[in-house]
Amino acid sequence: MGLWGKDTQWSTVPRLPALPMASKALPLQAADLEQRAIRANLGLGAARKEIKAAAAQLGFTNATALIPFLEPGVAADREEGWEVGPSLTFPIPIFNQGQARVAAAHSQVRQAQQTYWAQAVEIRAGVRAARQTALSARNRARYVRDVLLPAYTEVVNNTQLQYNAMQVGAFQLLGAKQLQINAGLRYIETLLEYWMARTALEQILNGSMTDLEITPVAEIPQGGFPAISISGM
Amino acid sequence: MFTRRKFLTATGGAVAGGATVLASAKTGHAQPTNIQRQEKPYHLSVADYAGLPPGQPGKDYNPVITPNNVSLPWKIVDGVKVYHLIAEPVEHEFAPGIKAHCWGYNGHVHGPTIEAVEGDMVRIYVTNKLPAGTSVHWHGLLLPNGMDGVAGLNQKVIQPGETFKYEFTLVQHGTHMYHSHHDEMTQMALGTVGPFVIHPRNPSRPRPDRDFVFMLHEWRIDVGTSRPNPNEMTDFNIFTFNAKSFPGTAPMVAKMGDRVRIRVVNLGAMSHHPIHLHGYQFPIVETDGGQIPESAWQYETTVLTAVGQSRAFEFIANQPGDWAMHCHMTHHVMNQMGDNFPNMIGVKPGDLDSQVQSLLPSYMTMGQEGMGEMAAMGMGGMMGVPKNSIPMVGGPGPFDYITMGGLFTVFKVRANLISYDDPGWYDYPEGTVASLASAEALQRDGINPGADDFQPPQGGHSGHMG
Repeated sequence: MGLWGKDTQWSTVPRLPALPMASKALPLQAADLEQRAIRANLGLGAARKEIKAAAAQLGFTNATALIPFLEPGVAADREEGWEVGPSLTFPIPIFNQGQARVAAAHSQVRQAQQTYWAQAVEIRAGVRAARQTALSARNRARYVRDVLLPAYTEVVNNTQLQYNAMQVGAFQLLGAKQLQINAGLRYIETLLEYWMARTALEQILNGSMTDLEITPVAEIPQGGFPAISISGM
Repeated sequence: MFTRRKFLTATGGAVAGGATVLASAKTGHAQPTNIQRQEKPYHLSVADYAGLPPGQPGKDYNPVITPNNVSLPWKIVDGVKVYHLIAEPVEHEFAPGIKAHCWGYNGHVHGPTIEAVEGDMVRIYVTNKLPAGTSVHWHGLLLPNGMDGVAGLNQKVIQPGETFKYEFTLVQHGTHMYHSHHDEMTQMALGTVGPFVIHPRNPSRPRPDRDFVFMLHEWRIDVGTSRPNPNEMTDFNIFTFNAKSFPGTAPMVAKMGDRVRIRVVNLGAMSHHPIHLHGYQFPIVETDGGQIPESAWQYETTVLTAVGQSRAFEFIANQPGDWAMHCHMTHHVMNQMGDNFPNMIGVKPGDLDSQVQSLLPSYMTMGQEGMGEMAAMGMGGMMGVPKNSIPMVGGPGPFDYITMGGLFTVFKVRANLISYDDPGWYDYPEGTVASLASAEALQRDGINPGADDFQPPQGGHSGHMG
């Protein structure tokens, strides 16, 4: 990890953070995820500089007009058919000697623009894919947490009653407990899948999400799973 | 042996005399009356009873007692006893703590006892309020084939909402039954059965002072559920006297010196029951084929009643006390006993309990010394059992918890009784109760128990009793 000295004395938190509440899962709800990615992406930043550099050869002092327009309303409207191929316009200086050099410079600008475009498309696609992965992972984790785990807990509780009534033996009771524990392990797995998908998304967005709150993790009381408070997770 | 001939001579009816002459004229030779109960075809037997008024309680018979149930009321219409049976779903309590959705008659499970006297003309209307078609068969009765009640064979099925009429004359006496005869496996298993008692018109033996009838039945009601499973063939877990399991069974009460008759009929699906009464010896005096002659009496303390059979036994209640009466199949005196767990007798759990409790906080190893402690602990209250169940529950007794359930009831005999209401527990005379042997008695008789260093089993429930 490239650490030395005191920095090697690090530790992880003992538990994965809980699934964030739907209202707090901003990155997954944000409509401008793609825009954020576009704005933040370092590669695109470099590509913008290339456009500017190529434009400078043509004598432009302000090449901003040459950067393909990103703001919504033009041709970059979210998930519904974002079209590639916008209306590209840029001025062409005509009173200049060295037409070949100028023509070459023009090509360079166009090339830089197309490269920029292709990269932007990939980033947008990547953002959408990463968002979808994170969403599915969250749904799976929620299903295990809200449907499977409570069902298996109910089975354990009722099997304990059946055991008390001497209708089943200790092995069946422990078997029911095992199913519940397996469901708990599955929850941890899906939770991990979610956080990894989130991390991948955030990487694409290239920076921490400062306006996101992560809900604190619920404590697990003594006595293990049957006493767990599902609502706190 | 008391024959119909003797009876007819006693009444001296001209019509009856004519019928007798007709019979012997037809046959030409004497019927072997001592082995053939049905001397004549039904319609001729009916003729013998023509003109007899309907039997009245008190005058012609002592009404039978159906513990935990009632007799079906009747009314007289033009000399005919008219009854109304309504087959319908009934929510029924087997014992405190367990109720189930059953099928019965007139709001009762089992159906009320139909009671009549030999010679009565009876008319029974059957209304079907069940969700399925039904019929009623009069088990053991001699009657016209079309009244026999086998749906499909003798009559059309009584569809839900319909009312059928059965009409016949009773030409016999004994302890009989009635039950559905359409989809019997389902309907009888859900409770559509009942006793049918026919008192003799001129009994040759004294009338009993106390006359009880019990219908035996068995059910499969999984712990926590509230509907009997009629498809069960071998694994029943609730056994009942008149659809009640101890501690839900009402006791029988008699005075010292009472002549007591106990009738037992069995309409369970699969199990025969050896019904054992403590404290007495008695002959079986009657079946659904009629009276058994005294010369054929066999004395028992246990009367085996197979499925479909009827047995009546009689004795004089001359031994005071609270006498147990129960089926002697040991699993039939347990409520909702499970058998789907490992044999725990003698198991020494060691530290298993504390290890498992880290996963299951209310776990407790059970059954190492049998079931007695389980019931006495009141498992329902202490440990929690599924709702609407009474697994292995018994009932409190005057000395200790009685660890019996199912086919178990008490026959209470008292010297002085003002009424036949439940007199409570027996007041034992001094010195007649088995109890701890005193040191003086042990020494006097030279008995050394050799139990000074006996260690009762450690841990287990003694730790949990609290």
